[in-house]
Amino acid sequence: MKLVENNFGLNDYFVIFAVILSWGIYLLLPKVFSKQMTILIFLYSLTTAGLFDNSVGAPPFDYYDIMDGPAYTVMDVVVYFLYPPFSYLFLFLYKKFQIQDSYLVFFIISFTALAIGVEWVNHKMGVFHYKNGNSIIYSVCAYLFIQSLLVVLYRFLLVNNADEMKKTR
Amino acid sequence: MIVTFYFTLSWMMTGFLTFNRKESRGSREEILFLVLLTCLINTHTYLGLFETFKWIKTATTPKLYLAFLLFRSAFIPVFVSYLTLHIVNNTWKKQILLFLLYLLVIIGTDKINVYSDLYTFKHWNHMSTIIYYLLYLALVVIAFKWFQGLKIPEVKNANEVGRK
Repeated sequence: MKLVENNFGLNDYFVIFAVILSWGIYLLLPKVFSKQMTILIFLYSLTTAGLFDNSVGAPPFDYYDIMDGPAYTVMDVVVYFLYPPFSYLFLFLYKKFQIQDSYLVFFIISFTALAIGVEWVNHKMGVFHYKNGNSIIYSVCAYLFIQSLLVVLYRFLLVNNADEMKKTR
Repeated sequence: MIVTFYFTLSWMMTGFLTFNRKESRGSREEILFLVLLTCLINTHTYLGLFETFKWIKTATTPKLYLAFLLFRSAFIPVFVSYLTLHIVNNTWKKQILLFLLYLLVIIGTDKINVYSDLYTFKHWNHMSTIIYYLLYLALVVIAFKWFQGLKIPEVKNANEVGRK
């Protein structure tokens, strides 16, 4: 596996900077989840990103490329490190502000808007390249779905823990 | 037909994993961990085999590719998760039986995939598939046990604390 497909350029420097920044933000945030829950949040973001990249992002659909081109490089793997802190921040804010159900839709829409903003910056810096009629607007559907599913899974696990606590009492 | 085949298998295994669940085999966190991990590993392994090493060539028609996606990212992760839960929580005799079933399913699906043109082997064969899936299962079992070890031990009942 090569380090980069072409030259080590602006997009590679940007990704390294973004990874350091996002993990720096994660390290500064209070750790409000258990170790198991934190690992599940990280794993969820890596798996969903991997699924999208290796299904709609790969031939025959081939709607986008990451970094320099279609080849799978070390820097493509580095891009995956951007997702876990973002997912953690999403659930952290959800928990910290105890988002009520009536505001949940607005919370997810706000976070989708933030995610689109981050993706737009990544696109401008040459991290994502849209192909075959794809554009950033279609990512809205992906973010809405992924973030909603994360909340559903989180609440599903919370209900389970609450049931277990009742049983032990 | 192959799309329906893998969709049905994936649906069936998801049903088993969701509704045929015993709390003693694994908590919801543990099951979710297994499904996410198996999906992540399998998806990236096949990507490596196709894109990086080019040892296997995948189908380019959308219908066959969709069937392959169901196989790679739905059926196999859910099947391996279900099997891992049973392997970890059973006696060694049942473990051997489950292991043989695993090998049978892996060889069977690999042959079906090649026969249905989901992928074609370039520098790969059925034996390589078996070796990969053995390593895959071993890694998942080890990771599962590690994840189980992270669970915070429950606080003892106040009456039990200090009891000899």
